[in-house]
Amino acid sequence: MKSHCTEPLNILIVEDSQTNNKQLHQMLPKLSGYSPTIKSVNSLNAAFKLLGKDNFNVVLLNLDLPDSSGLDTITSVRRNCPEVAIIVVIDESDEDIGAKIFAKGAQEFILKENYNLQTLNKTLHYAIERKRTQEVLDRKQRHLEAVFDAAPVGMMLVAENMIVKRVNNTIRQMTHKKFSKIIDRSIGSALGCINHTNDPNGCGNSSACQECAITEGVKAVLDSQQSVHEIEIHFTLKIGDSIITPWLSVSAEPVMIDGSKHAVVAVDDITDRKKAEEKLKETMEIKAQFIATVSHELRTPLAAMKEGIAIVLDEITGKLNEKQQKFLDIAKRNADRLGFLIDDVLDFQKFDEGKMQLVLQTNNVKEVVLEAYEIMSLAAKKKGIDLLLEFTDELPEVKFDRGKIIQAVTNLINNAIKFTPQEGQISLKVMHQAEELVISVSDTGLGIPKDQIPKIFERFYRVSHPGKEVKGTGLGLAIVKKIVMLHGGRIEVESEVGRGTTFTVFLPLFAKEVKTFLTKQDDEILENMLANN
Amino acid sequence: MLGLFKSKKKTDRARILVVDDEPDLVSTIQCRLEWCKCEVITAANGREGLDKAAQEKPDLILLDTNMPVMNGHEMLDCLRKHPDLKNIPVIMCTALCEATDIATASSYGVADYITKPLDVTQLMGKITAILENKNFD
Repeated sequence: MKSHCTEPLNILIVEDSQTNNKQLHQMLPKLSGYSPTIKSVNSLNAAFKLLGKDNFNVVLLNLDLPDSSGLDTITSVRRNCPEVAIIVVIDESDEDIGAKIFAKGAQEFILKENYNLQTLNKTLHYAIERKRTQEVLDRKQRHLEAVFDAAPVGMMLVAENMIVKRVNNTIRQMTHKKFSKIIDRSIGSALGCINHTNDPNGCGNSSACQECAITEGVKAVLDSQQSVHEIEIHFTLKIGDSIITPWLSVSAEPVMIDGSKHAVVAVDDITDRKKAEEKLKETMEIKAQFIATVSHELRTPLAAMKEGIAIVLDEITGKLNEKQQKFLDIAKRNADRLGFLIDDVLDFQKFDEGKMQLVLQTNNVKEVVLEAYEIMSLAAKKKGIDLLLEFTDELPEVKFDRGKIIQAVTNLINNAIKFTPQEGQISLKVMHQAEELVISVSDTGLGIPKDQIPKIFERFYRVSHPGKEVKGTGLGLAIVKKIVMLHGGRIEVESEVGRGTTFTVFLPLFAKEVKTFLTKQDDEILENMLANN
Repeated sequence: MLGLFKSKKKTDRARILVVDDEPDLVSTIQCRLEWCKCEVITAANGREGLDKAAQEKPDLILLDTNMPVMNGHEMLDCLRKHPDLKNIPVIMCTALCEATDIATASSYGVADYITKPLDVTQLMGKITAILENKNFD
């Protein structure tokens, strides 16, 4: 009785002996687990015709056929039909018949004298299973090879003796070489390094080879079994007669294969990226140079202007009447304003370049904040704004850059004055909580619309209030933020349109700034420079 | 006795040579220095500066670095080599970015530095300090 879950099976018998054929035709329909469809041919050519037309799962193949004999019969069938399971039917067994037929691509063999249902069953099952497993493995192998080959970075497998065992297509393309000129060579030779030699013991002999980062890196990986990542090298390759100099990024991982240490090396061509980096660096330098030049050019006439005005205001050239005093004051104020604007731009460039460095000292917080307050109190008074100062009683001594913090606080107050109408109020509060010094500047001014709040610290960003143009470069807050961040602190803002804004600066009591600079005892000349800028 | 109370400022009638290629700036410096009763001679470049220094033998030289024809560093070199001029104290005017170069290159023969833009009060302080020192030698 046949079980209801049987697999259909297409069997092709290639056998020129009538007797054998008959035997098989009798037994095969009784296979368990399969519902077979059986076809027979008595020559290899006939077999090929059928194999081409129908899909057979199994071929029962006699090696002695009128048009083919011996193990090569298997080869022929295999070549003709890669997917079919082959069971070889043989008269006599010899010791390594199994190995021989497997080598040729067959899955199983059966002795004629063993034609019985049990053996047939077993053999068929084994043959089909084996073929399936082989298919899966082959497919996996093909996939892996495809992945390895097609990997967008160059990949090399290097053995413990620093010889390249295997590379992918990308390496071949990079080096413009055939695989035969890449495999079983030293790394330098494989890649086409201009320094390589064909010396079987070495990679290259030039002095550059002593410091070759690739060789060092791969050797380190093989020895220590630790990976290396993204070693960047400016390589020189010789391709035919031409020399190219790509930038390469090399990473390597250790791997054990068959009990031996190997390294898998990824080689990525980063020439484009490097070129872009160079370009960017150049652009930044040009920008810095430009800003420095322009600022200097602007400051020079400004200096003469300010001095000219100061000389007259100091009444060196004679006594002034009220009107003369008034308009010269206007000239002075605006010359000063121009000076601050230029300072802001230059400061900002320094911050941007990372050249701004803090002079950290321990400070009496009250004194410092008082100084900022006094600098700004006149400006506030002139606009009719109340500038209030509030300290909590106990303020610890805090380490920070005095000049920069004064600059930050005056910037915040300056902003508050700009955006607060007459009769308004600005409160400067200082307190400390936990490990932080907290300085806040609150105003009763225009407030910042919610959608603009995230942008206010961006350089050149100016909050737009329709109908109320407020002047400035838009750098003030950006500078404040940079100063605060350099100290390892943070800044927060709360605001409501029509009610006012509060900026809160949090500074760590123990500033842990990354770049520290001179201390008081150091070079006075250079300190003066910093102080004046 | 009375003489002790009549302190004569060391800058009175000090002869100062100002070497700078910005005429407007020179005007303002000159005005300030003359207000402090100094005698002021001016030169617009290093070449002119050397000539005037040899001619007028100033008590102090205020020297800008960036000038055409001959710049401040070059003039300083020449001053050092001149037997009559090498002992005249020099204050060099520098732009901030030049500071480190100057500190290393021209340290000999320079009595002090001042950055541009000039702070006149600071300048007067330095001049006074140098002239006082000089009179002790």
